[in-house]
Amino acid sequence: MAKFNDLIKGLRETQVWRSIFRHGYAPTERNQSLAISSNFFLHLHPAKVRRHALKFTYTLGLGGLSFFLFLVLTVTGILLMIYYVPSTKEAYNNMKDLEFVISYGLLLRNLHRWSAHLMVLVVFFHMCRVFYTGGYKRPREFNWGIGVVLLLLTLFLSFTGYLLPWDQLAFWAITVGTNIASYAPILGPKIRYALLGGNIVGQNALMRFYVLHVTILPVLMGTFLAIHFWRIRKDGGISGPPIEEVGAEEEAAPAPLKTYGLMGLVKGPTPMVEKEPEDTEFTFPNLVYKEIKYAMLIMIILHVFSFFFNAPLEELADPEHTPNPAKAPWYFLGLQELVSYSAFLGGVLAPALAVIGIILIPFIDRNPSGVGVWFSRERKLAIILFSIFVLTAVILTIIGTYLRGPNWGWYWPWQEWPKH
Amino acid sequence: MRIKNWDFALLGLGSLVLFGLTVGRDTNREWKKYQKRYYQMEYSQAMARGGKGPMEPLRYKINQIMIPGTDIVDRCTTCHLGFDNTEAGFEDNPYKAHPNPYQHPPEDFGCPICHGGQGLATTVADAHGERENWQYPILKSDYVQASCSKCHQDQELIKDAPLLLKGKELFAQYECLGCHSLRGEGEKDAPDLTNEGDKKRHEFDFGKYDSPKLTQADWQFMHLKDPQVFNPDSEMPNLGLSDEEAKALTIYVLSLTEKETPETLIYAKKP
Ligand code: HEC
Ligand code: HEC
Ligand code: HEC
Ligand code: HEC
Ligand code: HEM
Repeated sequence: MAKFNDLIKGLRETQVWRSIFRHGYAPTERNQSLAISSNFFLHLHPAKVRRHALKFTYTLGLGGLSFFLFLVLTVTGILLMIYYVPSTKEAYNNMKDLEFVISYGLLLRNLHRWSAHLMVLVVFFHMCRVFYTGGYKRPREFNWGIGVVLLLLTLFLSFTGYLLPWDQLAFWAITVGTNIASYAPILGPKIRYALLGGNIVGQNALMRFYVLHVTILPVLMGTFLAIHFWRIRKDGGISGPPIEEVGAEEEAAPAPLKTYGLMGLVKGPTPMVEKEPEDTEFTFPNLVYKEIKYAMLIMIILHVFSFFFNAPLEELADPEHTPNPAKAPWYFLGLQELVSYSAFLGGVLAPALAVIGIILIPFIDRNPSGVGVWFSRERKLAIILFSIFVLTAVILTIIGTYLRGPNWGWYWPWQEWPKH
Repeated sequence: MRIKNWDFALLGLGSLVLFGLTVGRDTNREWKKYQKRYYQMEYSQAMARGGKGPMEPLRYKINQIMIPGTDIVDRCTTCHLGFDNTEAGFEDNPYKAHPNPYQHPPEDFGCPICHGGQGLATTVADAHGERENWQYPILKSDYVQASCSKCHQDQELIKDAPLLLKGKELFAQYECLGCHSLRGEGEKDAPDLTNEGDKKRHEFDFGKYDSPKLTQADWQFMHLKDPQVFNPDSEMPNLGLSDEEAKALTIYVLSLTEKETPETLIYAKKP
């Protein structure tokens, strides 16, 4: 054992080791800072964070979870790409091969599918968290906007992935989904045409969706994620209750602030320098360990779920047989429900207003108080209005998913759908 | 040793266990059970016939037939290993030697072209089409004759597909075309039968008998015996058919298809 320890110690002295890890292991404050700042993957974090930000109950880890799911999707997605051929002749058979002959193929597919569904949910919850804690208020208005773009990208990634198995579910969900897009005046049909590379969902559409799904959208996503994370740091770390000692708001300091000596001079609000140390803790290991454990836990949950539940795969896509009802992917069923009342209102006006409205929230709600706590009493009106919006979206989605049957008629879950 | 981070240890252990379970399940796929059994049967037969020596180590492999000139792939022989082993005389499926196999060498035809089912699958339920996502369950015993007319003319089938030909005769004899239409002939008082054999399982209403075990063949048979069995309001008359007649008619009705068969496989056209 002693020899082993010597060996490890000797190894740590070598030039190779020192060139990779540029700091010692002993838990000194210097090393804890260096662990973050000298590590490519960790340097997204500040070296120190406010204690408040570490509380799980504040963020529920939802932003981090969204990002972790994105990573899981990237890894499983790349592995799936090895087997997938975006051709109407082969795509469906590839799904069968994944299930029946490829080692761990079905598990990969399940992980990818369930993570994708979960990501849509989690990103939405993250948005709600940010809203209810007032995290979008000055100076974070712009990052909220970036967030909305991320939400749209998440939805669109999920939507484009939906077509790829080329089964009945995929084919008709995309047919219905792209029909919704075509209700926009003038541009609508053109958008649909461009998206599908024609008027029907066929080989061209499959190719376009594939390219969007595996290159264009992920690259955009990566770019916007980088901006999102960068902005979080530039906006002074994640939001929290105002810091009393300083009195004025953070951005009151106009002159360049010296930050942890790691980044040199940076403009704008930066990790609280004057205000530490009572209020802050080292990111390493406090935050980093938490993140790793959280990621491991989620991975286990995803794995168990994917072990027992298979991603749906219906029959081969068949343009001749329209299922009744033909439904869009679940996250668009609220829209489809609205479309069933009025195509233009539900398919165009409502979603456009919703997206623009959400982006504008920080500029409409300029009440600066109530940041850093859940459901602050000082923001009653804003909270009520947003909750009405969320509730409407959820209820419409539930109706579209569970209560609509053939010909978009109303069916209670215990009512049987008539055949034909 | 003192464990400082119990939570890490537990999460790590949890991941490891899951990993083990996943590897275990993936290496014990259903079809391997059938291959193992087959090689054991072969081995004990060889022993009984005076062979010597230990059993060769098992080499599991997915047997796959890719039919030349088409994009049909089938893996039925992954389990149906004995289909060409007439010597062994195994009596149970999936090991039975195929009746009359060499008129249609499997490497040219595969199995689903006659039997239906899902060629790509490697589990019994999926291969035999007992799942929602495969709408053509396998055809068993005599019902396989429903496939012969895809590639053969009637006169070539007199000996080998008698029920199919009998069904065709009965169809004319009972004047089914007095109500139904078929390829443009007959009347329009009842559903067109031109592609009756192509209909998917879920296009049939099994009424109160609904069960995943019932196939299109069952529906047709029961419906011909008693047209009101699924739908009491059906206007099709009960013709009082015998079981044998109903079976022949079922086979004939199932053979009505508009699906194209790859040219290179059709009898007269085969190069
Ligand atoms: C995973 C192994 C497996 C695969 C793959 C498989 N079978 Fe079978 N098959 C069986 C077993 C076991 C039986 C006997 C028990 C039964 O009928 O379920 C059987 C029985 C049969 C029978 C006789 C049924 C009867 O009752 O007369 C037919 C016909 C048949 N299989 C056709 C096929 C065809 C066609 C395919 C490919 C599409 C196929 N099988 C693929 C395992 C398999
Ligand atoms: C040319 C058509 C044709 C092809 C191709 C074909 N079969 Fe058959 N098969 C038949 C017919 C006809 C029968 C029914 C024989 C009977 O029961 O009279 C049959 C019967 C069977 C049976 C039931 C045997 C029994 O007595 O229980 C099995 C199992 C079977 N086939 C498996 C296969 C497999 C596996 C393949 C692929 C290697 C295959 N068949 C290919 C026509 C075909
Ligand atoms: C996919 C097309 C196809 C199907 C389905 C098919 N056959 Fe054939 N059959 C052929 C071809 C092609 C040959 C010639 C085989 C050869 O010589 O390689 C043949 C040969 C035969 C022969 C031998 C005839 C001769 O001249 O040597 C008989 C008998 C026969 N088939 C009966 C059947 C029966 C019975 C069925 C239904 C269970 C059936 N076939 C289904 C294509 C088919
Ligand atoms: C008096 C008119 C009449 C005659 C004669 C008749 N049928 Fe029908 N048949 C119907 C009607 C009406 C239906 C639709 C209601 C139902 O499915 O039972 C039907 C349904 C069917 C169906 C199901 C079609 C589908 O997919 O929905 C089949 C198969 C069929 N008949 C076969 C036959 C055969 C074979 C004969 C001859 C033995 C025959 N019918 C004689 C009136 C008739
Ligand atoms: C792919 C999707 C997204 C990822 C991966 C992501 C990731 C993150 C992460 C890791 C944080 C740090 C705090 C936390 O964990 O909660 C964060 C904060 C933030 N996110 Fe997101 N986010 C995404 C989508 C969104 C959306 C849809 C919005 C809103 C429309 C949004 C708005 C914000 C804002 C304003 C902050 C700062 C919150 C604060 O300081 O309290 N993000 N995001």
